[in-house]
Amino acid sequence: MGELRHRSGETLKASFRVLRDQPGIGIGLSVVVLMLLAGFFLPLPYSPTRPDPLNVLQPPSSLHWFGTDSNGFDVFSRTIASAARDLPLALIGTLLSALVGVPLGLLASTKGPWSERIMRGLDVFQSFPLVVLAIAIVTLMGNRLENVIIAILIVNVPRFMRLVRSEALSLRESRFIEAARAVGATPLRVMRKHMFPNVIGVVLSQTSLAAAQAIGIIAALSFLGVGVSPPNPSWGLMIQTGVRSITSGDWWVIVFPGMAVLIAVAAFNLVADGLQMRQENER
Amino acid sequence: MSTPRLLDVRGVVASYDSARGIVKAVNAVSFSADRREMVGIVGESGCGKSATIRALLGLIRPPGKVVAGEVLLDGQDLLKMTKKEIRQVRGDKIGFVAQNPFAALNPIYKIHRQFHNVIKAHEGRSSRRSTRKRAVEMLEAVGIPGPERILNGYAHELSGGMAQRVVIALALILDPELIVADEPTTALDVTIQRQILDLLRRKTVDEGRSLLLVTHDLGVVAQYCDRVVVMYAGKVVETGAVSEVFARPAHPYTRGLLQSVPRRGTKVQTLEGRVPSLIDYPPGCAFADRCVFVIDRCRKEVPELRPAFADGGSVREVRCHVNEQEVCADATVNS
Amino acid sequence: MSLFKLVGKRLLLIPVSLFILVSLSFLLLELMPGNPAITIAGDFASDEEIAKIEASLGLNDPLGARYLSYVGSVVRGDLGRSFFSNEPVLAELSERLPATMELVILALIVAGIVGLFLGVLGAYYRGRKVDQITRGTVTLFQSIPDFLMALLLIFFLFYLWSVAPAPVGRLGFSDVAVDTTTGFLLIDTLIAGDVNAFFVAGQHLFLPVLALGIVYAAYFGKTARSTMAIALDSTQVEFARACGLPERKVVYYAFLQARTPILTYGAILFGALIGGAAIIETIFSWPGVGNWALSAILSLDIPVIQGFILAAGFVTITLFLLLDVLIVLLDPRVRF
Repeated sequence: MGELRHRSGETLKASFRVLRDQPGIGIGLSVVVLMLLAGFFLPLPYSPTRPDPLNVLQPPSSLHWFGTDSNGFDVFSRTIASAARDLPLALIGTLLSALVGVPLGLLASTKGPWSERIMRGLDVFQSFPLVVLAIAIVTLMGNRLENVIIAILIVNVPRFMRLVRSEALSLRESRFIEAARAVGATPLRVMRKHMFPNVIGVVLSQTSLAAAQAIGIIAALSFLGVGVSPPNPSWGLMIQTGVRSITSGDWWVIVFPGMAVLIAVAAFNLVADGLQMRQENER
Repeated sequence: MSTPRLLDVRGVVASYDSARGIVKAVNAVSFSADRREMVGIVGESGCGKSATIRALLGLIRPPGKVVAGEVLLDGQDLLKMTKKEIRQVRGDKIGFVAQNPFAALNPIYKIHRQFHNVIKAHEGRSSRRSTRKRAVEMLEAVGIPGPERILNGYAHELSGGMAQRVVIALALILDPELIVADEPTTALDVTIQRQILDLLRRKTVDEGRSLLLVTHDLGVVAQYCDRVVVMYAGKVVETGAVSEVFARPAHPYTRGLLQSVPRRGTKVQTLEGRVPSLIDYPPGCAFADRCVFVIDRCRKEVPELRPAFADGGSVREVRCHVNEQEVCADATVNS
Repeated sequence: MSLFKLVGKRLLLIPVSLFILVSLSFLLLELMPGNPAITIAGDFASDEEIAKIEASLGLNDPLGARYLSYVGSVVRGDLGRSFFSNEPVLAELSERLPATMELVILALIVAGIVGLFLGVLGAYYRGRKVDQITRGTVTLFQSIPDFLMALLLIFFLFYLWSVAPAPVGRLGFSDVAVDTTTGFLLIDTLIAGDVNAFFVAGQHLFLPVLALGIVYAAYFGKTARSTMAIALDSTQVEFARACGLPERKVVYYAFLQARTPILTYGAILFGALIGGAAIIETIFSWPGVGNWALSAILSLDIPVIQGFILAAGFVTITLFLLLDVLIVLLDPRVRF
């Protein structure tokens, strides 16, 4: 228990050290924040939702920095504007997944045949191809934004549960939990005061990983026209628009939104990777 | 002292960079071993005894590295060798006996293949028939009945004692001059322990090898070893002949270790406290905080290794500011 | 002997697993909201039209009756007909499944080789420059959505450098198909002795295999790095080194330890890719099951969706049977 208190006291110093040793975490987080700020506040040269039919498939120029697509949309404006939709969607979906999955995982870590059975069921569920599953959910439940978030939840909650459960099970055996129980702490208090602070590390890196995947899933969905309502911009939808012109060499239509997806996913992966390395080094 | 010793370790320093600073796991360690001699290296876990033998085998992996010192085997400095040369020395001139035979043996390969691979690694292509013949002889020599059957089987089919004999046979297959054994009996039953140690003693004394025995078991050292090296916090704190060190410990730490061994007629005294962190190395003596003889000087000045009991006739060394007569006098009262 | 026992036991389990699978695929679609009749009739259909279509699809029968008739027909080998193409599902499936399998198997081989290389290198040089580079590469590969990778490859290798054919399916428009024996074009063309067609099929496989291979190499790379890092730290590896084995052999000893989890992960990826390659198949006009299932989901073509779930489930069950046998063959410690 003493070790725990010692840890929380030095949180600030420790987080500085983490940022220094794992620069990926800081870089990744700043990229995400910058993209969000740009998406919401950057003044756009053209309307991201109103096309200019007279200027279709223009290559990048001083007028249209990223060119225009086959409908006459300005690719720059739409790439930036999409960040304000795709990123919050991914973040909300992932954070909700963590909020639901972590307590469920802690609950499922109580010993007994039922928690075992539930985990088995989740395993079977997880072996289904994720993107197909997400598409099925959104298609069958209706082409709305909430359903995209629900799809992300259904894909991610089992993962959080698994992870938290296995982490909690190994913590349960450790000495300070035993000590807390020995001095008569209630199960709920043990969970809140001792288990939660210690699983937070793995949860953070999983959250980051899940956010990266959520961006991929959202892009895949909107690439297939699921979960988006044109002309509202979304990276996947923009890439879809470019598929028809890529074989004739009009690269800019897919490359710029593609790079945006890549940078966003890579940023979250960097954070996840850094957090994971930190834990590997601590053990 | 005129004939060169088989093994001479001089001022070896091994350190590694951790997230919180440089850790000197092995700090200027020196000792030596003659042929037909068993040298015990003792200390609590984390004192650097395992790191020491890994340093002399060239087994320290990054981020760790050996930064200073000499390891002379037959007059050749192992630390100056290229990776290829030191690899040839391992197995061929130095045999290694691991702590847990089941963790050490390859679980996927048959025992014969493991012998075959070791021989092939040093002698180039060899026929399976010839390696089998040599393996059978070696297994018989370490007391394994029915070696043919063992060679066709896997490690997990063996008992603990048999598996450790197989490990010893693997270490000896190329007839090394030095055997390094890292807690070779810790994972075994008490009855098996004696058999394995007897075997190692025979292989050392009868066949003219030298053996480094890393252990935390002082009873084993007392019974089997000729000389002992006591380590604390990465440093050698005392060396000498086992009979003398055990009768008259010169370092308060050795004395504490000896008193913590249960013996008939005496009260067990446990050593209080823990080995200090190798990062926040205290100024002065590393043992000062746990020492019952501590004086002011201990907290200011790092003690050097110095001769002790100059009257005794044999070579004793100790790393302590306190007079050794004082330390051992108190010890004899207790035992 | 124990191997035969294991295979026998697993073979007996297959019908049971399949029965569960059939029931699940039936229930899954029953529980999902959405009315296929509305989808078929279109947004502007009248209520009567919809009711007529519902009746023709048998949607008004009680649940139990529909379940029994579904299980009965599946047992007879009748997976129904597509709502839209009216083709028998089984016939379409037997045509499309080999196309997907060919793609996925080759992609996993590429992913396995690239991923293992990166992962083993990273684990061996853990914490050093090489590790940072391989980890960065893996993170980059992992960050590229597979469809973006496919489009970029098409742009560079087809449009700019013309080293790959257009993304128009398994063969070009003007190529003549050979007789189908296995459904795997690379094998069928060789059986037919048509070397030219073999190369054409290979060229068409090149881009989709590369796109999937690179992206999934990241997953292999991560698993390989973490399992190899543990294996390289093990006593066994240290003992092998202490015996003076060359580094190449030492790393191989570690790989022997790490290969079981890597293989298991490969099997999981295989199962997931049966449907997970859907978008890649769409981009390359690949006549596979993923593509087929995707359009079926978007149009609520229930018999096709059920057929896909059965096929993917069947492949996964067979795959894990093979995996278990392989593990027993590879590791003498495992006995069932």
